[in-house]
Amino acid sequence: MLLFDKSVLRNLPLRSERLTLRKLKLKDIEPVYNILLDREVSRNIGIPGEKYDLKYARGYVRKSQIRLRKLKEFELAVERNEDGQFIGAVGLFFISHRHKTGWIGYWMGRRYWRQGYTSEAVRILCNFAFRVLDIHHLTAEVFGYNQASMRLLEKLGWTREVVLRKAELIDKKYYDLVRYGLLAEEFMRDNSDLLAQS
Amino acid sequence: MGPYHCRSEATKQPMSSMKTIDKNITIQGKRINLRRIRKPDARSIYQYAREWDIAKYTFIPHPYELEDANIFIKDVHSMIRRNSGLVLGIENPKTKQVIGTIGSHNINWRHRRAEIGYWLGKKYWGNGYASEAVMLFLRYLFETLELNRVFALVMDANEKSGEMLARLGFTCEGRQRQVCLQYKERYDYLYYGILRDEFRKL
Repeated sequence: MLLFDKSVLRNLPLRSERLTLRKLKLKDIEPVYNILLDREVSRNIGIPGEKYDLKYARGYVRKSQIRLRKLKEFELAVERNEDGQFIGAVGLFFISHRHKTGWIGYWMGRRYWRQGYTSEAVRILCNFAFRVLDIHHLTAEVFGYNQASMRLLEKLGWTREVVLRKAELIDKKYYDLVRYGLLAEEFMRDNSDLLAQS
Repeated sequence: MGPYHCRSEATKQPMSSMKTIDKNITIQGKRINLRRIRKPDARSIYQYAREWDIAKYTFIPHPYELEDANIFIKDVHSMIRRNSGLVLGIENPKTKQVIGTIGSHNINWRHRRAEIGYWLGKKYWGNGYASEAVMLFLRYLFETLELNRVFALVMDANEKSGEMLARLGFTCEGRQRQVCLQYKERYDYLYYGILRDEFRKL
């Protein structure tokens, strides 16, 4: 029994004060590629170091479009309202219709860090997940060394739920993965100002 | 597909760490053995898995039919052929019957980790059979398949299973709140993990 149907796509794009979350477009391929070239960004989301090229970026955009259309995943471009600039992406994936759970991921170009954009985008995506898709619990999994991301989630009210010790092997070293969780009731309680938007 | 690390294509596994699972494996224990599940085992699997107390904390369908056992065995054989997982029967050495199963459906060769799951026929509970099955299976995963990490998810209401894993040397790594919807009730998932270095020190 599915949680939602294609009518949810009519809620897109999602908008906040400074940002618009919309489906990825072919014109995003180049900024995607450029941002992910930065190791400081890509090391936190674990994308391949070596075989990374424009083809990879194109594949990523195309697959997001297909998976969005099929309601399998909601990978959205984050665009700045003031100038239409693509600054990063947020995604909702691993959706379980049976358990009403999902995972989120996010990444942003380094020059757009420290301005509250990621928090803003994540908050809007969560609002969509909880209010429109009727998700009950969201998971965000980050690398144990990614302090910035953990602080961001904690500020947004997420709870550190699990530490998967030495779960990820990269370049012959094992790293911890940390799973944060957020429940619908917690989000609604702390974000009642977003009630009007959906 | 990426880019998120958890979404990367699992098919791109480095061949160097992948071991070929021995489909005819038999592991001898003191009170139970672990062995390949065969088509004739469907009947005894059906006999033990159909009980409500087994379905309660697992994803074994309920009510359970003999055909479900047949399909399960086919799926296990296919998984072993693809080298993506291994499920073994827990064998009662006196009757040679399969009285439960233990295994991993998704061995991650790239990161050398595996999630395990197991169940045992209710009439055999309380004798340490599940503990032995887990220890035998862990030895296989760590020493033969050379994995680095093994973990299990246990529904919070399933206290006995969690306590057993803790006794065996697993660490409780946390709990994901209300993520499991089972027969209209919500449960937390407790995570239990053990690393190869820790297993060797037991």
